[in-house]
Amino acid sequence: MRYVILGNGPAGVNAIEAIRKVDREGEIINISVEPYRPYSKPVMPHYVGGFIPYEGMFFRPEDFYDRYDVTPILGDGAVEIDIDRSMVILQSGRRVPYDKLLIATGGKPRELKVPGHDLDGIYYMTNLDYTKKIMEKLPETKKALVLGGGPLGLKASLSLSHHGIDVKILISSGQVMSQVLDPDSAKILEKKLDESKVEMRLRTWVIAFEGSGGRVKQAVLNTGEKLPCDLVVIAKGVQPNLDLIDPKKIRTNVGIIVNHYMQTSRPNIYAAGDVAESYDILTGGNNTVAVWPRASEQGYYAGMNMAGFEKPYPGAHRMNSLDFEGVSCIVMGDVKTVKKGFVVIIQKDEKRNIYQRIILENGRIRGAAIIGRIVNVGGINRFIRKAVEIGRVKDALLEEKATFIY
Amino acid sequence: MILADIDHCVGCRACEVACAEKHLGEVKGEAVGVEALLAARRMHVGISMGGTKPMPIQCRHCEDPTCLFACITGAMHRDPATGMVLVDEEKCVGCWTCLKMCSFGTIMVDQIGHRVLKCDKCFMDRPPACVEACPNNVLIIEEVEYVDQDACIGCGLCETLCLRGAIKLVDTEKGRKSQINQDLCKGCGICAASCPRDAIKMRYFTDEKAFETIAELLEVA
Repeated sequence: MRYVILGNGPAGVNAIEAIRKVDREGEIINISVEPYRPYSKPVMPHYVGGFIPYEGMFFRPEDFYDRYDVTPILGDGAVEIDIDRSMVILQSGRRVPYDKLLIATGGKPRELKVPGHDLDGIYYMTNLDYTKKIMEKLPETKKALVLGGGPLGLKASLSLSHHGIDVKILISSGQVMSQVLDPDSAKILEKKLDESKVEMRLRTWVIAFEGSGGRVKQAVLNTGEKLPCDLVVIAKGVQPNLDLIDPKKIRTNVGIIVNHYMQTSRPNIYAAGDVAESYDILTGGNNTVAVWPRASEQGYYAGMNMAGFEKPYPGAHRMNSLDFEGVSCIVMGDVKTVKKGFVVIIQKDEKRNIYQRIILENGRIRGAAIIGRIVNVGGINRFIRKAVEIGRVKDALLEEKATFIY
Repeated sequence: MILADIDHCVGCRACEVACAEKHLGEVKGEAVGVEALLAARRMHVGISMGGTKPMPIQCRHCEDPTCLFACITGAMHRDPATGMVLVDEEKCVGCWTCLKMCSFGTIMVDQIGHRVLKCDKCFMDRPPACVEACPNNVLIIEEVEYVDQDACIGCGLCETLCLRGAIKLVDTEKGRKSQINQDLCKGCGICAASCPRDAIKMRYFTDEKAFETIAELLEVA
C-alpha cells in the first residue's frame, strides 16, 4: 500500500502519524513544494518579532521523517494529478504513483492586484520564504504598512513595531477581526492597538503602490492620502489553493469538498486542512475553517480513514486564539450572527480589558468570545461542538472555579 | 494510575497547593502568594455543575489527545518513554489554542511566564504531590489491574498488546511472569481481555460487572 501525501503542514503531518498508528508497513511519501521540513505558519510573526528563534518554528523534531518511516520529497511540488493512472506529476517531471492520495496543500493568500503590486518590498506573510525576505528587509525599514485586520495582520504589525519600525495597519472594514468578532468585542482589541505604537486606520485600503527603482516608496489610499512606506505586508486572508485540481474531475466549491471520511469525490483521494471544505457543525453545510487545530484534526481523521480505520469526522466549528500584547482573545463558534430568539450573555470589565460574550440558540451555545481572561474555554468549546443544552449551567459558564465534567 | 474518589472531596485545594509548591522553582520571575500558586500549579479544583460538588481536575494524558492537534509550535507532545502528554514550557509561545481543545479544561494558564502548564504526574517522583497532600484519600494511586502469577504462563501476549509498555515479562521464582508497572498502567484492559489463561484481572470494572452491563443492555434492546 502506498500512501502519497501532498503537503507537510499540520494536516499532512497528523495524517502521517495517524496512518502509522494503524499501518506500520505501508509506504508513505510526503511531497511538499517548499524545501522545508514541517514548520508552523502561525508562529512566523513570533519569529519576526524576535520572540522565538528560527528553530522554534519547526513543530516536529528533525528526525520526524525517519521516526515514522516516511520518504520526504521536499522542494518539488505536485503540478498535476493524473487520476486515471493514479499518479502525481511533480515540478521536476518525476512521476509518483499512489494507492491512496491525500491533498493537504493548504491555502494561498488573497492577492491584492492593484497597480504597483509587484514592486520590491511588498510581501505576503504566508510562508517561510516570504518571512525570510521580510526579515532581510527589516534593518533598512523605517516605515511599514500592514494591510488587513485579521489575526495575521494584528500579529504582524505588533511584531514589526517591536523593531522600532513605524507601523500603520490599514483595515478596509470598520473593525479589527471583522470575519471573526462582533464590533463590541473588537473594540477591546482596538483599544489595545491604540495604546501600542501601531497606528490603526479603519475603512482604509490601498488603491495603488508607487515606487522608484523598482522598490515601493508609497501607497495611495482610497482616502486620497499617500503614505510613505519601505515595506508592505499584505494579510488579507487565505483561500484554498486549488491550482492543482481539475474541478471536472474532483468536486470543489471554494475548497475541495470532502465527506465525513475526508474523502473527495474520488474514493482513493482524500483532502484535509485549509484546502478542504468539510462539514461545519454550526451551518450544517460544508465550510473551510482555516485554522491550525482543524487542519491537524482533519489530517488525523484523513490518515485513519486512508489506512482503513473507519472514523467519521464529526465536523468543525470555527475558532481562533491569539494573545494581543497580553490580552488573550479566544473565539469559538459564531459570535457575529444574532437572530431573533438568540440569547446574548455579556459580561465585561472595560477597565481591565475584559469582554466576554456568549450567544445561545435554543439553550445551546453557538458562539463565545472570551477576551482578557481565560476561563472555561475548554468546557464552552465542548458545549458548542456537542450542541449541549446548557440549562442551569448558564450561570456558571463564566465562573472561575466551575468545571463541566459530566 | 491516579484515581479520584470524588465523593469525599471537600474542596480544600491542598492538592493544588502541593502541586504549586512542587513546581515553585519553575515559575518565571517574581511571584508570591496567590500569584505564585496560579503560576505554578498544574492542576486545579473545580466545582461541578450545580455549584456544589468540588473535584480535582488533572490532565488525563489521553490516548487521543486533542491538545496535540492544537499546538502550533510542537511544544505539546507525547513523551515516548512514559506515554504522558507533556508541554515543553520553553517552546510554548502562549497562543492559548490548546486550552480550548481540552474538553476537560485541565490545561492551566501561567500569566507570568506567558505559557501553559500541564500535569506531568510529577515525573517519576512517587507519590505525586497531589496524591500525597490529599487529607481525605480522594486522590490515590490504585492498582486497577493485577496479574495472578500462578495462572500466568509467560506467553508475553499482554506485553505485545499494551500501548503504554506498562506490562512486561520479568523473571520470578516461578519463572517468566507478567508484571504491571502501576504508574504506566491506564486500566484500559487490553491485556486482561487477551490473556489466554485469564490471568489478568481488572479491579474495578470486573468481568462480572461487564457481563451485568451487557445483560442490562440486552434487556433494553
